[in-house]
Amino acid sequence: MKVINSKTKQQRKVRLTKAGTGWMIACLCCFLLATNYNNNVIFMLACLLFAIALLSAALTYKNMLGIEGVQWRVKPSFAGGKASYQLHLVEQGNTDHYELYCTEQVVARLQKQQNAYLEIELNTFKRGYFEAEDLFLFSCWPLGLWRVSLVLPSLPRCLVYPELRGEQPLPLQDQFSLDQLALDEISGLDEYQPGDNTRRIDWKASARGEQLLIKSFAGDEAQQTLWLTDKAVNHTDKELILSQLAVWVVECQQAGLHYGIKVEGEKCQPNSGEGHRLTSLAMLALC
Amino acid sequence: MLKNSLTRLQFSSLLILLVLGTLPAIVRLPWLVSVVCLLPIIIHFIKPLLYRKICTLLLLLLLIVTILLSFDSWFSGDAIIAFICALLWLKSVEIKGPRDVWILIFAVCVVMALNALFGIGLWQMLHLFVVVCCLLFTMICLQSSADGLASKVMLQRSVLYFVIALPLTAILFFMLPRVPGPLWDMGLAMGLPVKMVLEKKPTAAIEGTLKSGVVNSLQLDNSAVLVAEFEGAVPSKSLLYWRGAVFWDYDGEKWSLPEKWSTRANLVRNAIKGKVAREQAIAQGSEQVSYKMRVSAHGGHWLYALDMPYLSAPETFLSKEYQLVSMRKVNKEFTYNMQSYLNYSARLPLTESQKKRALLLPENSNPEIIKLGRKLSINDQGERLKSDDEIIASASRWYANAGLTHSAKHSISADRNSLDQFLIEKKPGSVEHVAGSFVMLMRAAGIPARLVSGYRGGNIIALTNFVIVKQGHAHVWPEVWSRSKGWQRVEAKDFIMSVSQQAQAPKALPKTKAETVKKEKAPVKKAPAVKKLSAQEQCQASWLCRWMQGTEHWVVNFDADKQLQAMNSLGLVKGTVGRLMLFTALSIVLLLLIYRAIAYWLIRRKRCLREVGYTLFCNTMTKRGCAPESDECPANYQQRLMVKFPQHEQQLPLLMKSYLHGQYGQEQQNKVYLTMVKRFIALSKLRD
Repeated sequence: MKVINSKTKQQRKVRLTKAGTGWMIACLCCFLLATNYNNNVIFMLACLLFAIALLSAALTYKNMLGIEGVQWRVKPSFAGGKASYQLHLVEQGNTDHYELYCTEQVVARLQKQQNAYLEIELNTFKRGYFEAEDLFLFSCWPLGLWRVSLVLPSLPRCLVYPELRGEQPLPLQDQFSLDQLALDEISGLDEYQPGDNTRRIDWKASARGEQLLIKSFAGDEAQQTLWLTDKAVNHTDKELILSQLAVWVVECQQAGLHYGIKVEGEKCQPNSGEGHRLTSLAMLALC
Repeated sequence: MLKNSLTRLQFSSLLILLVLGTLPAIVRLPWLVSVVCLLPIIIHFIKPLLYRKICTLLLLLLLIVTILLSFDSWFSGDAIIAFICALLWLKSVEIKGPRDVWILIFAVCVVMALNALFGIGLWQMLHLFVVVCCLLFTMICLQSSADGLASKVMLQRSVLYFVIALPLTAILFFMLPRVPGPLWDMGLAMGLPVKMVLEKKPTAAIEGTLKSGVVNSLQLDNSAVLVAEFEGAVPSKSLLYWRGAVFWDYDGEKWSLPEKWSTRANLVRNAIKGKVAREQAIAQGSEQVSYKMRVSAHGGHWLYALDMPYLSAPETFLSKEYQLVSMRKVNKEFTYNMQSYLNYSARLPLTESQKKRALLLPENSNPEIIKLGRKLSINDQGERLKSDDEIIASASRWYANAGLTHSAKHSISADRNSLDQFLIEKKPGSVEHVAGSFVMLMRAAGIPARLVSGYRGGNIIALTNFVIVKQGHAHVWPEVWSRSKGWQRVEAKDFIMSVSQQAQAPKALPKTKAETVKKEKAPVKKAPAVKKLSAQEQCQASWLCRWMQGTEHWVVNFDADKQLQAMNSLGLVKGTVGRLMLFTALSIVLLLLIYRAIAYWLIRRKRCLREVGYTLFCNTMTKRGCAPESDECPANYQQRLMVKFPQHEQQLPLLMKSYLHGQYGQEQQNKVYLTMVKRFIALSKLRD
């Protein structure tokens, strides 16, 4: 049975649980027994069981009424780990909601006119974009005979980085760039970050846009950049290479190094910081 | 639902449910069996798993042996219930999760249903309600996580849900079309051979002789005799008289048919032959019904037809006693089409020999009835009543007022004065005594009378036009002859009450003079031990008694007939099962809408209390010179008020806080808020 709430336009499904099916069978058996033996006590029992089943359907449906999932948030994860999703649940009605579940994780209680956040973690297995199936928020409260499910908004895709696997140490010895010719050559423009040398601000370029831009020189990189290349990895399997590179990226970040990545002809410009780590891992994920 | 282990509360509620569910069975079963059924409780106190398993196994063996020794059959009702109860308690020892709890819940339902087979009454129904309430509590506990609702709240909710479910139950109970059981009757209606549900040796129907008690013994037998399929609606059950053998001869102890009545020559001689004779025999017939009969094999010539049969089927004929008779012995299930008149005038002329037989009184038998009959035939002036109908009416009135009772278990001895014992000594009699005494009374009054045997009523199969008649419907009734109407049926049994009806009737009969005198003359004794009931207590007792009788009548003994009767009185056309279903569904929808409206009203009322309080507060403050601005936030308004009324700087924040709490969820604050506002206004008036 599908019901679409006119307010929220979110679909609700009502179905009997296994216990509910057993309940209905018990109800039918009582009815047959009562009819066969013309026994009013058993007939009363059958009617009572059926009435409770009807009431249970209404109560369970009411328990799911007025809840709306508004917006998903997602955190990228490494392959083999868990993708974290967070949904903002809004209570629009004027009732409390009990024993709400989503993929066997209890949301517990959502009080009237209050908000809650539903945290979901899903297993990821391979790098790239992970697209999860639609999720349901469901409840069997209060009697467990019926299950009313609310189809939640579609989950956004989650970026999954290569699995952190690899034991090779960082190639510190031979992977630092020694390209002195490029010392004074402008390699590009970067967004100004607090702490950057203000003398390097490219005022002309900045005047064309709304952001301050600073000049970056190839010579700078050459002096301090650690190039993480696929050739430095002692594997031939692409996934293992990418896994090792991901491990190095994490290690570089932890060590505060300035690093760049070269994989299969693609290049990630050297930089450091959290933003660069995410960019590097994203490049490895989608490579 | 998703938990695997049970909390203490869940387990406790389950144990209470088991105790309540199995209580009636435990009380009723032999004490040894009951003890063995309850022994698994001990296992709950044994901790090591191995010992628990060993104990469970041993108890199972003990249970089997006890049941084997205590009951005659493994499949007797008590043996089955004992086994299920013991298994329930054994299962309670090894509950691992919600699935096991659900199994036990369903098993408790089964035990309750089986218990109800051993007796129905008001107490059984009350027990059922208590167990269902406990069942709801267990179910709510099962759904609640460890940090869920408090047990008190869950108990309140289970009672609330039960109370809400009761009106729904009542609608289903009273309005759902009833199908009379047993279910294999449906099979009969759908074409299953009648003999399939007969015993190997079918109970002999009323054949050659009829002694008192025969009909009662037949009524204990539930086997089917015939199935009738009507063309069109089935007539009212009270009009279904399935006519069988007709008895003229009574020797003071038993009624008998003439010797060799079933020889072919006698049967043919006794038949109504030809259309003209048949039309003469039954005049002024109305309410004609057509039906198809299926009679089970019985090895005799007799058949049955609805009183009064009009057209006979091939291979059958109507006798001059209006009995349908088969040309051949009915050695296999016999099917025939029939037509009858429900209203008729049986005008077949009474020959002299027939009249003599119909007026014959056995010698040295029932002298009091003969005196009474003669007395009833004359008026106060000692003259004989002019018409037969007057005499019949006079006898009927006497029957109705004589305080006679009938009962399946009568205590009348089977001698030549048995009818006197029933009619004069007022002993409860069987249906043969009722009908037989009326025949004798009529004969004594000079009215030709005879006894007709057959069946009355039948089980109407819902949604069909089938009627199944069983041995339990066996009946006899008197037929009297009047010059104006010919033979007419008199239902003497309807004039009098059954013993159970008499017990329920209010005892307002005036005492006899002798009793009154005796009581007056008796010395007045003090009765210190017996406390007299006050008028209020008597009133309450009678009210309770009436209520219980009403519940017994309308709930415990409610059946298809009462349902039809009730629906007819409500204006629903008889026999419309579809309409009944529709009304049931509509009633449920209406009830759910009423529930919705009540819930809406309650929420609104809670909101209203808050708004009423706030409006009152704002109006008061406006009068004092500080009106709230349109769409002004209560917090801002509070700031302005505090500037203007610094003397209330303690009360104002409290009032605003309470209002906002009420607005944002804490409903219990609404009522408090209104009280606070009123108190504030009262106090501030004094202070200002």
